[in-house]
Amino acid sequence: MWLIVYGAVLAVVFMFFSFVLEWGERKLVAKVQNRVGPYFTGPRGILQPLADFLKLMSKEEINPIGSDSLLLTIIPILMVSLSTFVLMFIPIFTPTPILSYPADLIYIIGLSASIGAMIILTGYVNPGPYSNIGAARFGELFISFEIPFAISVAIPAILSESATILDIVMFQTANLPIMVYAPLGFLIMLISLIAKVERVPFDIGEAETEIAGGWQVELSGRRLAFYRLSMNIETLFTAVLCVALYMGGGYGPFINVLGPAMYFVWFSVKLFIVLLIISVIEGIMARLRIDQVLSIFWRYLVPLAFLQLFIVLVGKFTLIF
Amino acid sequence: MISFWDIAQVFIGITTVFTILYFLGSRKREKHAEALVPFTSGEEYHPMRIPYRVKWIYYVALFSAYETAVIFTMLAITKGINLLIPILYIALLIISLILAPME
Repeated sequence: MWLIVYGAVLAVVFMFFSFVLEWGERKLVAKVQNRVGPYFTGPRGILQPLADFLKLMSKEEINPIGSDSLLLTIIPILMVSLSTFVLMFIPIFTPTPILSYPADLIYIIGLSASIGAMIILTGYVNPGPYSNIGAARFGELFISFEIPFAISVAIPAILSESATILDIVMFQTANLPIMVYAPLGFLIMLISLIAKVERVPFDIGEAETEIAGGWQVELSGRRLAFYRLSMNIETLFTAVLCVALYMGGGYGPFINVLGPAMYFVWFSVKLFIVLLIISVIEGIMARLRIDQVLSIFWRYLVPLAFLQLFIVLVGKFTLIF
Repeated sequence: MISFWDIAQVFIGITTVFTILYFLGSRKREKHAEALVPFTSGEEYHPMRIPYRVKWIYYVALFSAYETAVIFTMLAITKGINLLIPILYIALLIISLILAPME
């Protein structure tokens, strides 16, 4: 019973954590684009994402004619719950994650992939052309980034000979961070995670100026609030996964001297670096065309991912790594 | 060692919080005249579905399966484990995808 309460408390903690993350990201993108960003709500605008969420929650919910109301109620709740649940397996606050299970990396990758399937389903259950096209576009994006993403996730598992996230992080404490052994894998993971959360330049599924928001266009009120929240939490998940798998989690210099609190400090610093990279890319780039996105993933990233995999396997079998 | 039931309990806790939060949101059944257009985007056209390939969802399922299978197989190869279990796992995934309802 206490685990249910524990899960409930952590859900609220991660929700607020994702609001802070959104605020930080919006501020960074604004800085890059020479704007102010969120400013009025709370100190330096930190409460703006929460205010946006509450505003959407209080707005009228419109059911488009011909849409599946039941599915549109279940999917957003499930998407937010799943994106929060997968965060429990990553050691963010302490060196030990909240949940750890043998080969948990496989579970969480499978679960996070199901979130993509839910996005496509959302676009399909709404009968508007924009949302249908948005869902189809996201489907194209999804099958493009999944292969390089899966390989970039498999590389740390191969190097550490374990599919448990805790073991992968511990491997990096005894050795160097995996990004040193597999820099190409790290780069591929960064690019794939930007596509996974549909940020510029890979936001072809939403594309506000072309298809008015794509799969999100028919959503309103609390549904839209929940979809946006789930995308925020998924951004947090992909960024912390990158930190845990490639950057050594929260381990860094002076961690033994300054105590366990230093783990979270190091983790936050690395998380900030990942967010900074995402924000700079988002701030300076325009949306790519669909054919350009497909070309980037299929022509360049898939072969590069296989090359990195080959290098890692050769290094592993010849005992170089 | 944490059990599968423990993990399920945490998931139940998370889902409960978000379900409560969702139903705390406004529903507002009475609509204003301007809110009666069939689409949120305000476009006035009849509900319609564009020709849409349901196969996309099929492909997505395939790629999700691929994602888990690739880690499973690579790990088995690296650790020198008997490949029978990953092969069985992949075979089961492929069979389930073949048996999935088609367009």
